[in-house]
Amino acid sequence: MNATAAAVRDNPAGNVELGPLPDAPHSATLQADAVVVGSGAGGAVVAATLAEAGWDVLVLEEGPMVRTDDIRRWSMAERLVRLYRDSGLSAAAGVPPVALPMGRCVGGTTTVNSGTCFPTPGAVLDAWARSGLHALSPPAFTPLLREVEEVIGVRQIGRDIMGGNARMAEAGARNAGLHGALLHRNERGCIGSGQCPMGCPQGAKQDMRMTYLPRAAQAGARILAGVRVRSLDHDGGTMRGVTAERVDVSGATLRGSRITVRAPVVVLSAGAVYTPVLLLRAGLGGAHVGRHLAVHPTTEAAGFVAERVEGWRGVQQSYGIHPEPGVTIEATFPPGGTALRYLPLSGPALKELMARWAHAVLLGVMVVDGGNGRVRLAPGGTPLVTYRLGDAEAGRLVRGLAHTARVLRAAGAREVYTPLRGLPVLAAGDDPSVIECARGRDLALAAFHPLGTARMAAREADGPVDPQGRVRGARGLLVADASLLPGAPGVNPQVTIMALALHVARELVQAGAPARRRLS
Amino acid sequence: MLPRALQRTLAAIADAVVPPGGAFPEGAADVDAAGALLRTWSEMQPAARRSLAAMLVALDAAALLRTGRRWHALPLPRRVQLCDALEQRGGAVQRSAFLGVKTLVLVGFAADPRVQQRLGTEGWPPQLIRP
Repeated sequence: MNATAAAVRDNPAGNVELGPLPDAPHSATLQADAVVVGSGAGGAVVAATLAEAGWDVLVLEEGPMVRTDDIRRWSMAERLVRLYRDSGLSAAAGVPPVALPMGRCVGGTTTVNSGTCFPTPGAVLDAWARSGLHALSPPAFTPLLREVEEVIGVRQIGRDIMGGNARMAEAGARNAGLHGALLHRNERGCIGSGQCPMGCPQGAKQDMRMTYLPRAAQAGARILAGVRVRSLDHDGGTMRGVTAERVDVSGATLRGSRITVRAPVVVLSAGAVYTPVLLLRAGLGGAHVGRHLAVHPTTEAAGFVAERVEGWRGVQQSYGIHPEPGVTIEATFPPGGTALRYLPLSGPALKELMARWAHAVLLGVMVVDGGNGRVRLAPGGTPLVTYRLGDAEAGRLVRGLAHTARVLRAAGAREVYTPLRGLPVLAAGDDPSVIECARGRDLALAAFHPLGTARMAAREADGPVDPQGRVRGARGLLVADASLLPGAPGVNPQVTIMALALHVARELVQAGAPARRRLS
Repeated sequence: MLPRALQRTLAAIADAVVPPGGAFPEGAADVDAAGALLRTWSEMQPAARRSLAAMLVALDAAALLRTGRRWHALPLPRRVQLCDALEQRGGAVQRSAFLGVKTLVLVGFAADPRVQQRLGTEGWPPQLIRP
């Protein structure tokens, strides 16, 4: 197992892209200074940082390797099944249930997110610092955010690729008297394909396969795809490594597979649902593990205007509007048939709207939430995710939806279609304020930012992970992913996650030479 | 593979969500929207298969409760009414199940080139462009 992935420069946008990976062994015992579980926003940053510091790093990713050429070749249904965990059908149980799609492929959710980037808001960093997390104060953390933004190519969307959906959102915000701006994204060479959540067919989005993973590979890190970690191996809390198994694209274990990794340092970067699952299975981390799940619940609305918008042309998530604190409206036109779900009708009425699809304007609403969810272990060791929509979140959502309807109206939409049970359409004469009377349970919700389930806290009483990313009570076990966030930042969190991972990795490097070498 | 009875349920729901005729001729059955989904079955993770099957079972139960018949035994207009009832008045579980299945059906439907022509999305995204 000496082979490392090649970083190549052959994708359509002319970017560096992680090359083909060596096949993972069916069964083997491997050694490393550090094993990183997961290759998404957290794991990739940790892998690159440790490998470039001379550590022998092994990255284990449960999902398959996917290259830009694959994305271009696959149908939308194939992409949904191959890039998303559970074909995108993951959900948090509750009233209402919350659809919770998560990436499951090399690069993790960064491969299938919208690419929207925000720095952590200063007020959020201030609050985290006041809780005793001094490394997250604005002066200490902002340089990490800037470094990440530089690596992943964050820049504001250009007007040449913003697309018609963004233009309508911009006009609507201006006419409604609301502040808005084109979003920032991580891309180099974007042509506005509008396909981000199904993988970039241009290889322009600077997800982990284009940035930190090639760096990790070039520094000698080994990256294995199709390997699922079953358990954390430890002696009384001192890490010995992990036990894993080969899986196929459907997640089925290859018969008899068993991969044992001996490593004194284990970094959990499996995301806010699966990192706590591994901790709970191992009985590590204490009572906070799996609690405080925040998701940034979202809902959506559609309007139809007189002019042709052709919202599928241009950047998929493009324009942000901030009508009140804790509420963000984002112009979002999902690719393919996934966008049609914005239309709350069936039968001939739905087809009437489809025939006017070129005139559709789609907006999503995202709100900050208070960590009302939880990840537990279900029988069989799988995750059971629950989420309780609180009154505060429900209020923000229905007010946000009313603001969205006003923006659509101000953009020229006569009818506005909503996801509210019993109120599918707001007709031309209806006052959008009527939406504010709706109950949270009548919304159709999705969420794309699960976080906070193994949160960093200054005091043991407040969270299972210390300010250096170390799991309390476990020697050599760290967390570096969305689980770590002390609370919901209220903005798309990928840059925050990467900067936190960078902080954790740098602290680890600073702590000393790789432990395996030191011990040997 | 998805049990045959549930395949029939899926096809009957797909046909009601996007029936033939109306604003344009093609319906879900004409483009085999359900089949596009079922062709990925072997690659679906077990949890996804269980979720899809459970959603269809829940929707069949809803049809039985509300009409006394299963989806495939209902005439098309009645199925369309049932779709609207589940989306607009359904309980949390039934509504969620319906929205999940509807989204998957729409993904399959919109992937067909004839439908893309009707929507106006044909030829998008553009082919290889090098800067």
